[in-house]
Formats: sequence, C-alpha cells, structure tokens
Amino acid sequence: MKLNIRLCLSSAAFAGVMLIASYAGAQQLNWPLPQKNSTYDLTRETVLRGKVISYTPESDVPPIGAHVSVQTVYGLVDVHIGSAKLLEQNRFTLAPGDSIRLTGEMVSYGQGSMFAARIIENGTRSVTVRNTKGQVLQMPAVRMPRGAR
Amino acid sequence: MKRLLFLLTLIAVTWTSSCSGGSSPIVPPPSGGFTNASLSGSYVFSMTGTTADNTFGTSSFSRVGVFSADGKGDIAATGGVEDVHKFGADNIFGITGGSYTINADGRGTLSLMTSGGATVQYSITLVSTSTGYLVDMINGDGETASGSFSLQSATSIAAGTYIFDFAGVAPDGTGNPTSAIGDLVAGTAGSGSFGVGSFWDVNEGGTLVSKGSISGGSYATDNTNAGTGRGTAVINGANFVYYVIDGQHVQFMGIDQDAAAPGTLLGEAVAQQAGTPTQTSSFNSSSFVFVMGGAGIQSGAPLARAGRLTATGANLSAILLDNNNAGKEIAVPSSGVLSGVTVTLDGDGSGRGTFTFTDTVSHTGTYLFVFYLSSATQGVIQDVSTVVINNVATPVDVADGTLLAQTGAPFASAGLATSYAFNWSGVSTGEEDFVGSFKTAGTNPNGLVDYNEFGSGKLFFDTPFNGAITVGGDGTGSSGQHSTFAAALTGSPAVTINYFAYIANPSTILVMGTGTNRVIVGVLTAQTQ
Repeated sequence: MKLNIRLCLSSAAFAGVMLIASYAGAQQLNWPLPQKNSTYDLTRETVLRGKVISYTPESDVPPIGAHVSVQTVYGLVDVHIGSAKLLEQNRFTLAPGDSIRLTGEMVSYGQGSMFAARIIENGTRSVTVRNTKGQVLQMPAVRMPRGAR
Repeated sequence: MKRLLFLLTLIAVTWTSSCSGGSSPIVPPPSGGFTNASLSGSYVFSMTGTTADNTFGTSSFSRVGVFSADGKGDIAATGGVEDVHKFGADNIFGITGGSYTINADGRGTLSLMTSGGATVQYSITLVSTSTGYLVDMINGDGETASGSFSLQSATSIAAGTYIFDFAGVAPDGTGNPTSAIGDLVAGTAGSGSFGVGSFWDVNEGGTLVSKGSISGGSYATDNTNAGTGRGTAVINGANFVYYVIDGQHVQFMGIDQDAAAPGTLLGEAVAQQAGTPTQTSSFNSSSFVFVMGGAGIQSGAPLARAGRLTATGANLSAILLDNNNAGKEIAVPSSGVLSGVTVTLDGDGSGRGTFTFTDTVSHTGTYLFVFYLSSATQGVIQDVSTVVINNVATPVDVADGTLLAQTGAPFASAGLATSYAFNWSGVSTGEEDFVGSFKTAGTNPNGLVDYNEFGSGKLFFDTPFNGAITVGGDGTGSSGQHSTFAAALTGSPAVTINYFAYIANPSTILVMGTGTNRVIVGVLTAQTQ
C-alpha cells in the first residue's frame, strides 16, 4: 500500500493533480482505510545466492527504495531490499562483486513481480529489512516530547 | 604466608577500587527539595516508542493510562489502568501495584505492575509535584519509549474547543508516518459529539488533508473503569482511547487494530483559551519558537526541524529555520534571517493558520507550515512543505511539534540559572530516550541522566553529565544568532550531544540536536517545588 502510494506520487501526473486537490480540502481522509492483504507468505520464502552487480540506494525504478542487481544461476535479478537508511544505520554495505545470500520471495507488484528480500547476508554480516509480513522496516521517526507543563 | 596473601589481596582490592574510582567522574549528590511525598495522587501518563518481536521486527507502540501514588513510595493496587497499543492491537490492563522513589533532584524510579503480569520499570524526573517526564527502562531491552505524566484533577471531558496534535503511524495498514493536528469542539461535558467547527490537517505519508471537517465524531466516558478518566472517542472513523488529566488537557491514543503494519497515533488535546488570536492584527511583534520531529517520506530517515519567527500583523520577519535530516544539519538561511513573508489566520475561531516562506538567501526551497493555536502563547505545528518532483508539488516529510511564544526576552544566562528537568527523544542506531535533570549553575558535572538506546546492554542509569546553555545575542535568535545547549555525558563511552536551543521563556527551552550521528529533539523545563 505504502509503496503503491509512493509510486503514484512519483510517477503519475494525475496523482499529482489528486494530491493538489486533496490539499485544497476537496478530499477527506477517512480511517480506517480498506486494508490490502499482504501477499507476503513466509512459507513461500526462498533463498537466492549470487554476486552483486550493482547497488542503488534510491532507485528510480519502482518500487522506490534500495535495489540490488544480483547475478544468479537464474540470470540477473533485480531485488528490492527496503530502506537504504536502515542498511546504513546497521553499517551494512554492498559492493559489486560481493557474494550475497538473500532470503525472500517473489511478490506481485503493479503489473509484474519482484523479489522482495527479507534478510540479506554478506559474508558474516546480515540485516533484516522486512518483517515476516513483508513490510519494509524503517528507521523510527523522531517524536517531539511534550505533555509536561 | 597467610598474612602475606591477605596483604596482597588487600593491596589488590585497594588498587582496583582506586583505579575504577579514578576513571569515573564524581557523581554529584542529588540536590533539591523533592521527596517521595512530591508524587502524590493520580497521574495520567502517556508515552510512545519502539518495540520489537520476531513477527513484526521493530515497530512503534504507545501506552497511556493512570496510576495512583500514595506519597510514600507505593502505587495503589486499585484505581489504576493502562492501554497499551503494541503489535497492532490495543490491550487494557489494570495497574495492580508498584513502587517508586523520588530523589532530591526530582529524579527517580517508578515501577508499575499490571494485571497482564508485567512489571514495567521507568526512570522519571519531576518538573513539579504535578508533572514530569519518564522513559521506559523495561528489563530485557525489549522496548524503549518516553513521555510524560501529569496530576489528574478531573475524570471527564469538559465542554470546549480542544487543540490536538496526534503523531505516529496511520491505523490503516500502510505503516505510513502520520501527523494530524486540528481542533475538536466538545459541545457537552462528559460524553457527546464533536461539533461543527472541528477541523484537522493531516499528513499521512505525504497525502495531505487541508482543514478537513471532522464530522460524526463522538466521545464517551468509560463507565467500566469509572473514576479513572478513561473514555473512548471516534474521530473521522478512527477509534481512540483517552484519559482526562484536568479541565484543560486530555491524552489520546489510537486503538484500531492494525496487524499489517503496527503502530498507532498518540497525542494530547489542550483546551483553547480565551484570547487566542483569531486575526493577524492580534500579532504585535509576536515571536514564536518551534521544534518538530518526524521522518522523511521517501527515505524513511529521521528528521527534525526547528526555528523561530516574529509576526507583526500579517508580516513575518526574523525567520530562522534549522533542519537535521538524517544527521545533515542545514540552516535556513545559511546566515542571518529571512523576512518579508506572510502569516495567515483563518479567522473562524479554530486557531488555525499558516506560514510560508521561501529561502531567498541560500535557495533551499519553499517552506509551508500549518499551525493551530490553543492560546496566545501555545500551539501545535505541522510541516506541509513540498518539493517539485516531475512537475508535481510533493511533500517530502511528515513532521509536527510544539509552537511556543517567546516571552520575557531578552534572555541572558543569569536568567537561566536554575534546575531543569528534561526529556530528549531521537534516533541514532535506533530510537533513544533520555530523562534527567541538571542545574545550570552547578559544578561540572551538573546533572544526571538515565537513557535507553533500545538494544542489548543499552540501558544506562545515573550517568553524570554537564549541561551548558550558551545564550546567543539576546537569546531570541532574531538576529540569526543561535543559542546552544551542550550535554557532555561522562559515561563510557563519553559523548557530547550538541543542540540548538530555542528559548521560549526562562522556564521552557526547546532543543534540536545538530550532530551528524543522531537526530534528536527535546525540551528543558525549569523545576519548581
């Protein structure tokens, strides 16, 4: 849902028009909004091994976020690995030529599908980038303390 | 031989003791007049933070409730209750007992036992006998959170208009960071419907609602937990629990289930006071400071914004804005201040207004903020700035916070020579929450802090530190000179957290971290006994 919203915002002009309309007060947000069923299923997880061809922290290719292109026995696979900031904060790096191991699964996205990694391993380092429901893990937001008076 | 062994052992012990003592700073004895009797009565508490489990990984959670302290170190076994929204669901627990200690400097510990079988340990600091800050220091490092507590003097909502600020994660399965600020018109005391004139501005992961009407909302006292101040509310289809503090303040927490992307909204509603400006003509060289926290929409990275401005009629001047975006600090403008822009007030009694300005000096962009005033000196503020992406004005972050008038300026160091309680909350490698107190005129180190950095072995108690406020110019920032606050923690490893300080008045100072390795915001509040 989140990634879909972002795709609309960044790639479709009509979405921008809708955005402006919503800001003008024409659209009212109502909660709870209909939930989309997660398509991620732990029982379908597979392991992908290969060599990093390229790493893109902020990809223009939907879904936005960090992507890594991996040469595998199946060919070149584009993998979505969540938030680059999360990798940074965990001091997890990816460089061309690194042999990596990805735990995740193919999930439908837009008109196609993608490999959504949940756990990335590079040598002795590993980082979890999705929860078991497939949601991309993010850094926590900063919250302004308040309340005491 | 035995004597020799004894002597060697004695020497070794003495050497070890002196060695460790020599490398540790001298901890100042708590000073002040707080005692266990300072915490007496029923207190409403609220907090939000980060937790983790194997299913969801890390996710945000919130807790709100009421406990009763006896003034002697014990928490009552009855009359207390809490709601915890964690891993996508709200659970209500009775508070079945506990204990607390209050040191002379207002710092202390609070332990709350709940009907769920858990005992949660908090580090607390009193601002006064009626309010204070707390940080979740639960054993096992399973979570961190920070918030506040306030003495309860009413248990049902008073009629009136309330200004609110709810922040957190949208309860709709998206996991979107969300800010909602606005006003709620409670037509009747106790229970009723939110009336005409209730509005909100929402930024849900970049989807904006501008002054949307809140219709069909309602609120009702929870008679099952009578006398606790607990109630439930519906706001535009979203369900909340609330706890009444007094006739002016109510704490809200979202309770909708959201197992797809756990998180909830938490915030406070403050009764709007008579004399709240409704026309820009009310602004007469009125200076404000603000600090807000949030996250970038695309990057998911933590960010903070802070600043000051002066409003005279519809004109804004002496604008200074600081940004810390994932550890990258940018001042707007890069030097001096901005002027010549406008502020608007809607004039409908909602207290809503906007201010917009373009950085014509260092050309970092155009900034747009929405605010709601609860009085002439206090309000809430939300960032709705956009950048143009593919010819579309696109919000880039979700952030909100506190807006306060500057009163009592000019400010000087002598006027800030007092004891401050504080709460800082931020993100470094993960969330981190700090609570403590310090005395600006004290000797180095002049304070103690407890903090939780959310991770194994990352609970820190009684860490000595030196807090130093340096006033820049007249302390208002109107000439572009920053005031600063530096907190030099002398623990292991030693670390100094540097802040810009935005002085609202000598009793309330908002702070925003300027470091590259953390994004952090907070408040320093003068202690009174």
